[in-house]
Amino acid sequence: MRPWFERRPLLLASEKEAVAAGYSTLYFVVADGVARVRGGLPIRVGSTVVDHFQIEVRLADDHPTSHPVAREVGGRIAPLSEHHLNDDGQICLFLPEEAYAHWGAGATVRSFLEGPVNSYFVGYLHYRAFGIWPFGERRHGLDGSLDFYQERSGITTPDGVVSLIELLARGRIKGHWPCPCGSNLPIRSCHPGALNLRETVSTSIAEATLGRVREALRKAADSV
Amino acid sequence: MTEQDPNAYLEAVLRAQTLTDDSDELTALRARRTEVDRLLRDGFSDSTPTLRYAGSKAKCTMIRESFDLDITCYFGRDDTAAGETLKDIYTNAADVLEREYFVERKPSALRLRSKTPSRDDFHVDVVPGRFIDGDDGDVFLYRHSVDKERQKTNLDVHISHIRDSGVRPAIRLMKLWNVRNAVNVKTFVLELLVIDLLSKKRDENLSDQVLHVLTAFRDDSSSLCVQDPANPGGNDLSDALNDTVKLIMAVAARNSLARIESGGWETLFGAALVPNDEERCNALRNAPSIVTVQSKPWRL
Repeated sequence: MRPWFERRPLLLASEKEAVAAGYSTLYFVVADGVARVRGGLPIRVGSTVVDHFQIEVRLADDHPTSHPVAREVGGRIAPLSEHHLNDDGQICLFLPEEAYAHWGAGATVRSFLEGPVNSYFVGYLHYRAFGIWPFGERRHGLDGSLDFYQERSGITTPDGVVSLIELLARGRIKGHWPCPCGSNLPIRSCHPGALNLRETVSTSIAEATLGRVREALRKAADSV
Repeated sequence: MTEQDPNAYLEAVLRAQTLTDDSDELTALRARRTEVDRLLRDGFSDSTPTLRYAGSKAKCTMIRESFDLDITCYFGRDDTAAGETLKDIYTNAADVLEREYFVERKPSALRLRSKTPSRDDFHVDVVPGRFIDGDDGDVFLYRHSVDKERQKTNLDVHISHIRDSGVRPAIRLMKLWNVRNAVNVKTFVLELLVIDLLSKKRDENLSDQVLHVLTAFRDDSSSLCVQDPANPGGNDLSDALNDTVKLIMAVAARNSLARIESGGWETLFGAALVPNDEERCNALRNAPSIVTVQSKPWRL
């Protein structure tokens, strides 16, 4: 299949125009079947520019369905796990389960840069200056995902959380069904927050998390 | 502001790029220098290598946004404890440094990466070499993985050529331009180009100097060339300024000049400047109540 930017040249033009209007030191590179944005990103706290970082943002092959991914390419951020970088240098901007808040309908590369990318770098600079991530941070790996489901559903037991993820991965969860927490009450009257997750967590994201849960359980069983 | 006083604006850009002596960045850089220094002196305890800052720290062209730690480690002409040949010195220095760092062998330098990832934001390059005579500063460097295994150079000549060029502000701005626009011309080559292009324009104001350099990059890129002042005939820099590099420079310069023409200097170096450390800290401290889109980072 032809790349998205060949199928949708107007979308590419509009993305380019929006980035150029907001950032004079960022530019598009379309090569090898991939569209990227590169250059210097001013990091803003309100109207104050507190720093600049060299970045590369790769647009997804199915853009604009999936969100882009960002890397800091100037070598300024040490590859420490506390800096929320994956081993391949990709910045972990947010949990997959929270992507909906940053890449929904109408999202653009510019909104991505102004939103989670800027937020990450502000957070990083704050962390370097004061030792904490100002907007919070998720625990690494599966723990961070499980925290998310606990917070949003109110279900606190590990078994209950995993049962909830299984329901979301199946793509079906109804208010009158027994609550995954094990209470035997209907979900709507026990943990109604679990129902809201239908709107934001896609089946594929829940499946991926469930896969990591099973992998972790398998490893735990092997080590016993 | 920029339309009335572009020079004041550019000087403010440079102030924001200046690292004070007590800044976190320079403190970390000095600490790393001390570590590397100790490692090399312990590793070559039978020798007395001359260890010095090189690069932008020595040449006074450092910019906050992109700086490295460059250290030269030169051994005396008759000092064979570090190695009989230049290649031995290079290899032995790499072995010593590998006790505490991952070492990437670059053509002349050894690039260090911490085995325990550090918070420092800069690269560390160590350049081993051997003095040719005694006191004039000329050294031979080993050239790793290139045809010509030996290169003559002179750190003092490099430093004085750039530090005393009279155009350091323009050099620093062009380094910032190089970084911000991801042009990626080698810093040494860029410095030499700026000095050469401004050789008869040292007394002009900063904005005119930068415009002159950008115009030359745009209009005369094919005729640009540089010579190593420490070894004009012997150190060929042409590969660092090949046709592809020239083309990238020309395109970036054309875009930059068009932006300056249509929107003023702020379109090139940013509408708002990175404030001083105190303002920056205040802005960051208030970030939770100011930044509207807030995300919680994670790691797979």
